[in-house]
Amino acid sequence: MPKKILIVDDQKGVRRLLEELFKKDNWIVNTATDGREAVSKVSEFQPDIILMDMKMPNINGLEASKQILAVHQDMSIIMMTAYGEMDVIKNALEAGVKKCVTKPFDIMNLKDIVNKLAGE
Amino acid sequence: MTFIEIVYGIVFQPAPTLKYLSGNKPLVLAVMAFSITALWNMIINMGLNNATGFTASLPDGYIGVYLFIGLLISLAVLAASAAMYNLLGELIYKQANGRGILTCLAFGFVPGILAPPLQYALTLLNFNYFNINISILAFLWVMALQIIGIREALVIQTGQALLLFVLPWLIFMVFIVALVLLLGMIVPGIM
Ligand SMILES: [Mg+2]
Repeated sequence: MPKKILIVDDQKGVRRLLEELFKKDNWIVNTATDGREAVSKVSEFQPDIILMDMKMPNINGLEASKQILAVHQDMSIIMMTAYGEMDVIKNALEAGVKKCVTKPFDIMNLKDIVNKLAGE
Repeated sequence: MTFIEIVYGIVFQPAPTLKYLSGNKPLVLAVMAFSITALWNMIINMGLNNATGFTASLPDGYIGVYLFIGLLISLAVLAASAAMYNLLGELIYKQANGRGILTCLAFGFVPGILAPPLQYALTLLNFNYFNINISILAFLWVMALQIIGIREALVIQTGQALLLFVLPWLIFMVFIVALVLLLGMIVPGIM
């Protein structure tokens, strides 16, 4: 059974990059352009992993993660943050986010993190 | 993205395309695109010089050598600028993405392919006024793309990317001014 990943980022270039990356590895990929769309897509899509950008319009990544984790306690969320947002990373991990990666991330490194988390 | 999609994207959707490239980093494609653009520019410019009456004193057999050396120099400048921006990016903003910057700078150069043929056409038509402006426009376009490329590759603000872009030139200018001043002090009567 192929695994499902939800990619959440307000930047089209990032969505395209990650969508292509995981489709190539036979993941079922769905995307959302902001936190609000992500929250509304989770229940129906039931992803194994969520790749969540931090800085987004409407609902940011941290708030969206909190809302998702309130309903799906075991959801594996990986947060993508900008450099130097140490307090954001701390808040995210405290909220139940499994991993944080800083941009610019290395796609091979990100793939490793995702596969490891999905294998658990 | 395929090669065609990337070239189309660079022209019509530069920011998301450069963001994609800064993560995907298709370096071989990037160097290919850059080399084709550089070679094309050199060839058209040779034709341009002939058309304007400036006959190159290059024997036929040496054209290949001329193009090869020109390409090597272009690639060296590309690599050196990417290295410089990556170093400065890490020193100033603690953000590095060398391969991403190299890929973005190379693809950012691609619209420069439009300048020589337009220039050529306008020279043949004797539109000398426009021909200067078109080169400048193409130059500014490439520059803008490379600044956006640095911004996307390092995940920094546009202003920060702009500063990074001009910084090597500023350093170079300060160096030249300092050298001239120093020379003025050492060699009496030169200034
Ligand atoms: Mg964002």
